[in-house]
Formats: sequence, C-alpha cells, structure tokens
Amino acid sequence: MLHTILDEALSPWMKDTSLDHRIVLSSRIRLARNFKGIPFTNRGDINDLAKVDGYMRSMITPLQTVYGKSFSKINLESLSAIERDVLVEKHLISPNLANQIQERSVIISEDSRISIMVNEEDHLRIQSMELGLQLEKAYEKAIAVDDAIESKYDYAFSKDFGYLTACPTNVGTGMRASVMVHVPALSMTGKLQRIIRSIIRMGYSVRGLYGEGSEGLGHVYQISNQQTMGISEQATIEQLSQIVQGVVKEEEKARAELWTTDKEGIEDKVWRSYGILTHARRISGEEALALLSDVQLGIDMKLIDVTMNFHEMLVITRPNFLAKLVGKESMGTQERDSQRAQVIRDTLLRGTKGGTI
Amino acid sequence: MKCDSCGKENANVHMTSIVNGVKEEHHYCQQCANQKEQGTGSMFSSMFDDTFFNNQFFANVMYPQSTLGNSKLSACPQCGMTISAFNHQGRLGCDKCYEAFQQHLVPLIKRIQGSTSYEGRLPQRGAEDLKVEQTIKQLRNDLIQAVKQEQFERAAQIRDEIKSLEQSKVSN
Repeated sequence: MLHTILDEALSPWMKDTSLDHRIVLSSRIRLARNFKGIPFTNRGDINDLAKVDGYMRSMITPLQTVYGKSFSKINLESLSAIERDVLVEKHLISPNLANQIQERSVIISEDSRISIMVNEEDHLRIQSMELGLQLEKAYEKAIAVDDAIESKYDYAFSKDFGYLTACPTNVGTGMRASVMVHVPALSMTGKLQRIIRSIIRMGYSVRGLYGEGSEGLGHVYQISNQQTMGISEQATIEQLSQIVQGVVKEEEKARAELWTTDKEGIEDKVWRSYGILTHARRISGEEALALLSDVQLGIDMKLIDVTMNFHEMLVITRPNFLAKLVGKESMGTQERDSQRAQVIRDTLLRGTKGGTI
Repeated sequence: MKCDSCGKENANVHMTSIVNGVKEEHHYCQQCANQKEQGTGSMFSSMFDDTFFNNQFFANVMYPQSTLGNSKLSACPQCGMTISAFNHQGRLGCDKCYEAFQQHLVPLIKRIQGSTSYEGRLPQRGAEDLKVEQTIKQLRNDLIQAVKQEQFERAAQIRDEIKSLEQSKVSN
C-alpha cells in the first residue's frame, strides 16, 4: 500500500475519467479536531502524543467498517526524508508534519481519498479529496470518518466556540474547504487579478499552488474559506461552490475570447509548448509547469489531440517524486532537469496517437 | 475617493469589516482613520509602526494591547499555558485554555473571524441543549420567511413548534 502511494504519480481517486474536470481539478475538505482533556500537540509531552497515536491505532478497524475500504497507518519515523517529501508533494501530509516526526503518523485510505494526519498542529487533521468540484461529496466522507472517531473518543468541543483548535483561526467548524482550479485563459487575458481581489473581498483566500508570489505557476490556484465561526459547514460549501462556478464561467468566457480573437495565436502557443515538452532534454520544474498548463489548455479547447492527465503531470514533475522514481535520495539540478525532461517526453508520447513524433 | 467619515479629505485607508457575516467596506482619510482606531482599538497603528515585524508579531498584529490589557487569569489550570506565551506563539495549549482565556479570545476571534457565534455541526454526545437551540434558531428564520411569503398557516405551525421546543428546554 505505502509502496503504491509513493511510487505512483496518480492516486487511485485521480483516475476517474468519467468526470469532466477541466478547469476545476479537485476539491478538498479538511477538519481540524482535538481530543478532550489532552494538551494540543505543541504543548503535549511524548506521552500525550503517544496517547493520541494510540487512539488512532484503535480506529483503523472501525474506519474500515464505516468507509468500506482498508486504511494504512504509516508512522512518519519509519519513512526516509524523501518518502515523507513525496507525501507532501501529493498533498497527503503537510510540510509541518513531515518535519516533526516523533509520534507523528498518517492514516491513508486504500483509494487515497481520505488521509488523517495524527499529531499535526491539531491532534487530527482529517482530509478528504475528490476530483473536480465535489465539495459536498468530500464533506460527506470527511464527516463519516469524523463521526466514527467521535463515537469512540470525545472531542474538545465547547458550545460557545465549537470544535476547539490550537490556533483560533480554525476554531469553530475547524473546516477548511479548498478547490484547486486551472485558469490559464484568465491569466492570459489579464482578468485574473480582478477576480482574485473580488474573491478575497468575499472572505475567501486564493493562492497559487506552486511557486511564491501572486502569479501561480502553471496557472493552478487554490481557493479556500477563511471563516470557521458564524457560518455553518453547509453554507461555507455552498458559497465556495458558487464562487468556483463563477470562476469557471469566467475562465470559459476568457477561453472563448481567446478563440475568437486569435485562434491561431493560441494554437501556436499550445503546439510550441507541446514541441518543447516532447523534445527538450533538460527542463526546470518551473518551465515544465508553464508548458504543461498550455498543453492542458490545448486539450481542453480541442486544439491538440493528446491524452494527458494533468494531475499526473503535476506530481511527476515535482523534485522529490522524480528522485524517488529514479531511486535516488538526492539529485543535482542538471540531473533532475534531465530526468524530468525524459519522464515528460515518455508520458506525453504514450498519450500521442502513433506514439512517435 | 473622499473619506467616508469627514467627506472632505481623500481616503487613503481602506478597511473591510465583517459584522455578523455582513461585509462592509470603509474608506477613511488618515486623520479619521486614526481617530476611529483610538475609539475601537483596531489593529492598524501596529501595522504602521516599526514594531510590526519583531518577534511580537502575533501580539502586535492580532492581539493589540487593548484586548489583552485587563488580564486577570494568568495561566490555564489544565496545561499551564499563559496569555503571554499565547501572544508569542499564536497557539493555545489545550481545550481548557478557551475557558481560561475566554475574555481575551472573544474579541480576538471576533476580529479574525468576523463573528463569535458558532453555527457549525454538533457532536453526537453532550450537546443536547445546543441542538435544541440551533433548531429553534433555524425555525425562527423559517418563520420570518413564511411570514414574508404570507404563508400564515405554516407560520403558525412553526410558531407552535418553537413554543414546544422552548418549553421542553425549560422542563429539562
């Protein structure tokens, strides 16, 4: 199980092709929970951490019964640094959890949709992921897991503040709902910043998934709620879904605009990017993300006939996954760029009709 | 753009506030902004002075003196966390900290979350009263809607339901 998680770029849940998940890549619900009467992770001693870990060990079987799929509990101390980093790149654990490993673990469902970080900033961070815009479904699954745990152990809860968390920014529902979107046309037409500003004004946050600064590499952004008090989980999910639907509409409009104003221009961009990706011998992560985003846009707009899973490419081009793929603990920049170029060439040619250029 | 307050000077301080889930934008000139701030104990003087980026970041930005000044309880009885340690780290020590530091946390949560009323789901055990309260709250909203839509029969039904729930609360 661990083996599959670490070595395959695509988590099982990402393979569902029945859904049209252009523009909206994935939805995620995260619940922060703590057990009653045990100090939060930052203040707990090793016995407290071990107690929390023990609670969760005892939950593996009940979780399987509720969820209908098997769960694995992975002790972070048993992993190498690079294996932990791969879990971070796949969004299964947070960088925070990867850095502090004593009595820390992650519980992952067989389909990788559910992951529970144990002894992160809060005792539990229950995370549930779905393809496309499916916050409701992700929420239902997270709640099923939440209820199963709560039926055995009492959570820290107060009627004034709701679920109690280490940081007051999470107190209340403890819920962070996030949606990952790919919006290249909004960037190209210069409309993105205005949209980001209006989303922020509604009390939601937007951040580029890759790279620093406001311009997200690969035009992939994450939109999340900020408020966990004064609003219910359902209302948050409804609002966020509406915001995302609005973004999708704007992105579609921008794509139509690109098509009518200069179809050849966008076609040229897509094919050039495809040309570089299928021929380059060395490519940086940054460049790869930008070009892959172009190709994905070309696929969405039916300008290019290639089969590519954007999720897979996003994971495959990450440094630690690459290193793991090649079986090395560390690689120099040059070697990494050359490995990356090769993996991208191989993957894209597999998805191209005829298989050769 | 002119200042919302004096209407004379140009507005160069822009704030968004969330009160009871309603977002409002305000635009003030520097002078009026300073005055407002003294009145409300808001956070932006600390953003303009030099102490902003020192190691009291959390204390200055999120927990200004006005909300922390009248500290009575110095440590959490369960985990020993102190309010000054919290100001420093921005993390609470345990569930009891929320009771121990309630008077500090309420204005803080109001500031960062825009609300201090909990509207989320309830645990399966030990929150029966709260469940009834939430149901009543929901029914009151339904009642207002029903009256607006002139569905008076339904409104009367909802009213009776609220009454009986309130009575059950009292008898418990």
